Amino acid sequence: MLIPCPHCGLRPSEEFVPKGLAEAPRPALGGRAKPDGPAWQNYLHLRDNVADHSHEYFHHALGCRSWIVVHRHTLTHEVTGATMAADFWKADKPAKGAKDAKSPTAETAEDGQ
Amino acid sequence: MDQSVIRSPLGPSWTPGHYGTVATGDDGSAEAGIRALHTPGLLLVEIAALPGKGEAMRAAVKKGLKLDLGDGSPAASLPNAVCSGPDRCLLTGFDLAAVKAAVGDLGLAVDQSSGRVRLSIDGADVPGLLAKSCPLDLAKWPVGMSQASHFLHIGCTWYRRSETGFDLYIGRSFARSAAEWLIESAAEFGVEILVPDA
Repeated sequence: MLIPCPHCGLRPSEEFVPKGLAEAPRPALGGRAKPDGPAWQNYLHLRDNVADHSHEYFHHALGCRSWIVVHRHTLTHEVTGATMAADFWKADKPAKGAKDAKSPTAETAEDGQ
Repeated sequence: MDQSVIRSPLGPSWTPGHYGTVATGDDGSAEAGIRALHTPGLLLVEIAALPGKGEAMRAAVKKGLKLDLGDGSPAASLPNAVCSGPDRCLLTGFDLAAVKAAVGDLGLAVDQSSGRVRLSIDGADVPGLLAKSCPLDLAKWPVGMSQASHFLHIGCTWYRRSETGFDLYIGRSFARSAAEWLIESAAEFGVEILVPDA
């Protein structure tokens, strides 16, 4: 599987470490930094596990060491693009179930191979 | 008496000389398909721009260190300024204080002189060696391009210095493993470990 790193271009997935879904924002801490139990329980352990397009954090550990968000279909493993993690949260996320038109694909992320 | 011993991060196997296959040139002398050089004592500083300050930092580096980093992309790397990531660059041959003065508060400058080693390889058989160790297709790299990728299992920043010459920047604690593998793997081509300049 090839992943289009926004900085490096297309790279083999072996260079990346998956870091989980980028869907859910991290819950706020409760009073006096005490975690809000149910919210953190859901955040840490509950996943929808949908058969659809997903946004997942990957760390380009054997590359530019950037955190990126990869847009991947969980059934077909088709990767439709990737975004720098910082940019992902600044911009509107791609609609679920639709191909991501905004993220860099092989057209914009030049093939680094 | 000073009991300290300075050991090479590449280990005892990295000793100047010829290893592996010996090909004979037209004049009867031994020829190596790959020549390899480690540069000890190299000054290495990594700079990283603070968020949103990449362009400003590159302008400051251009003014302070006379280095034109272009748009900061891997293709804009220089022999002594190799792009290692987004708005990050490895500078060689510059004093940390000078780099910090140039970068100012636009980014961070960290001394990596003891953190990384640079191996330079050159020779007609370098493509054969890279085919066994690097997942990238070097035929697509223009001269002057850097790639942050890996050398075997070891994270490595590559820089294409010439048509057949590459620099590898490798973490110091992995350097011995990389050096031993390089010698073993390059043996089929013949490898000459060069003596660094004094």
